[in-house]
Amino acid sequence: MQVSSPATSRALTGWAIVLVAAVAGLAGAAAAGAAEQEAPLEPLVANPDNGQLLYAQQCARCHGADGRGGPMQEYEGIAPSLRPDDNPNIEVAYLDLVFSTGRMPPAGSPYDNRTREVVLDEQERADLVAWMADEFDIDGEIPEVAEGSAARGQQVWNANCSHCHGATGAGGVAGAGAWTPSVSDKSAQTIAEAIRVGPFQMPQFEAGQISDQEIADVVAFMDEVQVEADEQILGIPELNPVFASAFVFLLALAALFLIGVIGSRPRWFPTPPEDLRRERRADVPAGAQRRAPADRGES
Amino acid sequence: MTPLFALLFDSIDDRLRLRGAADKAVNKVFPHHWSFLLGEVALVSLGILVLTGTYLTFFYRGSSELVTYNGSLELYNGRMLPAAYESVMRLSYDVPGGLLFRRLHRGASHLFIAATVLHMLRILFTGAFRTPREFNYLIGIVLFTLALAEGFIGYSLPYDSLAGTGLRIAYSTALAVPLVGPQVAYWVFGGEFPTGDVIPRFYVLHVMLLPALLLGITGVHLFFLVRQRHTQFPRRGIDGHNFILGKPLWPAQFAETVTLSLWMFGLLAVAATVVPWSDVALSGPYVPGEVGNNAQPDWFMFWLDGMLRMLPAFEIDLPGVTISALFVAGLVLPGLVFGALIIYPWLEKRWYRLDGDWHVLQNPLDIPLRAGFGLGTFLAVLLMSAAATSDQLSRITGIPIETVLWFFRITTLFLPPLLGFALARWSRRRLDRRDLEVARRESTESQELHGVVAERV
Repeated sequence: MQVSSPATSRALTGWAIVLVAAVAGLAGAAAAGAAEQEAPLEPLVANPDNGQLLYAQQCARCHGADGRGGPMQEYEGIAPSLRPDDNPNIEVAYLDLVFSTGRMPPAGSPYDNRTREVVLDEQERADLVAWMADEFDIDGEIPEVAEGSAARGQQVWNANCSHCHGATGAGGVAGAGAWTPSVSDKSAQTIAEAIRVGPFQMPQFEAGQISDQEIADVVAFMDEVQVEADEQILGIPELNPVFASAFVFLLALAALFLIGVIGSRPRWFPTPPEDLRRERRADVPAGAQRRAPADRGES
Repeated sequence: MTPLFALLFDSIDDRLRLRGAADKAVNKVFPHHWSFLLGEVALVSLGILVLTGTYLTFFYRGSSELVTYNGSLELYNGRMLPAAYESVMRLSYDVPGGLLFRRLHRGASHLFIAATVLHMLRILFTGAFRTPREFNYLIGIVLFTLALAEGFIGYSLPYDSLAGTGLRIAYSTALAVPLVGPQVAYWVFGGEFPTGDVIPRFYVLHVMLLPALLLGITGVHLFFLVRQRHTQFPRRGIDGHNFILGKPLWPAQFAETVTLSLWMFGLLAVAATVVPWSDVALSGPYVPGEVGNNAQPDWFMFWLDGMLRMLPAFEIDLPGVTISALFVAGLVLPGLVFGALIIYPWLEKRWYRLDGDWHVLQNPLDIPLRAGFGLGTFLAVLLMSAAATSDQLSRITGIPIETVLWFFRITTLFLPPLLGFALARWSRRRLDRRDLEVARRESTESQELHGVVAERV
């Protein structure tokens, strides 16, 4: 029963203002976000001394001061060795990859491979990689990524990557407690390293499967996704149906709000004529009968 | 009315004899309640869909033949694409207002189906389907089915990678029908998937046959609505079975509908600006065999997708027939839910031995069967729908997807019947309590009337 009073209509107007302000604020924040520019890259000079310090602070606890790994204290499992003579997977690109994606050092559980906070900044990463490469005799180098074509990259991406990382690189599930990380926000080096190294559950792609040029193309495609995302007001490049369903929910709520407001306007609601009222019981005195809600101060 | 118009109307009326019917329709009484506007939201969305959809057909090409895209989107410039996808790219990036219209169309389609669902729930739970409105209720179910079909086909037409995946699943579901499956699938899709026939056929269905049916049957739905009296919520002191209280179609209800339409245009325009409802440039054209992680249908098909995820991949080989999980999730289950929807009015009538006409709406808790069966089924569909989002839920919560699926399997199996029985029981108790109260009050009143005061022991 919608019987509106000045108070409720004031409240509804108030809510409408709040809604408009929220939308405007959202749009403003998105515009501000789009205006942010990335700082130009400067060549980094690695400082191995700082790297040693970082290793002692961040890594030695689980991987040991000598980098040979062993059973961990907080978590079940064994921290792998970081020396190439024990662990042939270890190379410079691998180290740089796990640091730049925040996989290591872990903010929480080391086994949770969803997107996470990156602990080391670029300088610290370079320092740590430089010190570890020297200390543990780790080979390899951080790959250089050339200019690529997004159009070719999309085809490479759809043929090799989207099965796990999704059509726009937003990430997804890989089963058995593993999740594929989002890719579009990662740097060119990180993407190239991941393709070549094949970290954790991800398969390794040799140059015969994805060439260096194709890696550059994939990177260009992921940049394109990022550009597209920045152009959108909400920063979402393309909706997957699950997020779309959340927006449908909001749209339906907005429609319900609309019909709630329109449906509670009293101006089109007539007062019931006297002869429509039902006498409930003949023997109940007239004063005892409750008044119809529509009678209440309508005009 | 100015004399000129009066003359015009009179001369029209002389020829067509419309005045009587028009006067009747104009004075049609509409009771006032916000939930009665849900159907209007659906109606207005349908209008917006027809308008925006017409604009889209000017540019869309219903074909999956490869053509070269030459346009302003660098990602595809000079590339060979399926014609449907190519025209969608041209619409989005080269046709003025094209992307806006596509988003409006998509947003309006979501709102259309959402409003239809809410309208249907309102009808179901308040008992507006009861005699003499059963037939209009069935028409409503037909409209809902058509809306779902339109939604699914519309989702397929851009022929992007997600759309192709949806078509693939529809094809496999058709294949899984026992006995006639392959024949039906080949007949609908024109051969083994992917075929060149499916997009042209679905295009014709989407813009011609289904809209014609949808609009025509909506006309019948509205005709019934006007011919029959509108239901109303109970009002204290008003005998709703014999009197109807509301505003006339002209001008009050008309003004309300126009107000609602204008606000809805605004709402959808804002939504289309902010939310990329229909952007598919990055997902790429459908290439058979390529499918991205997190592939779902649109939300109104989530329940079927969720069921497909929850059911183990079984196949039962009976002599001559194979029953597969795909068949159960894709056809048996929706058949059951729609079957329940269709028979429910008669079920309730038989259950409570009701006859006569009903014009006053009810609290669903006043009818234990409706409370239990209706809300139980609704919860089951909700849980099945939630299961379709299992991959995103797993990602957000950090719970392995297998555990998430087991959670939904168990809750979908046990929670809805539990809730159904609990609600039915509770509402029956509630009724008993109320009956008792009424009886007690009446006996006290009659004792007072007759001058007898019960002695308290």
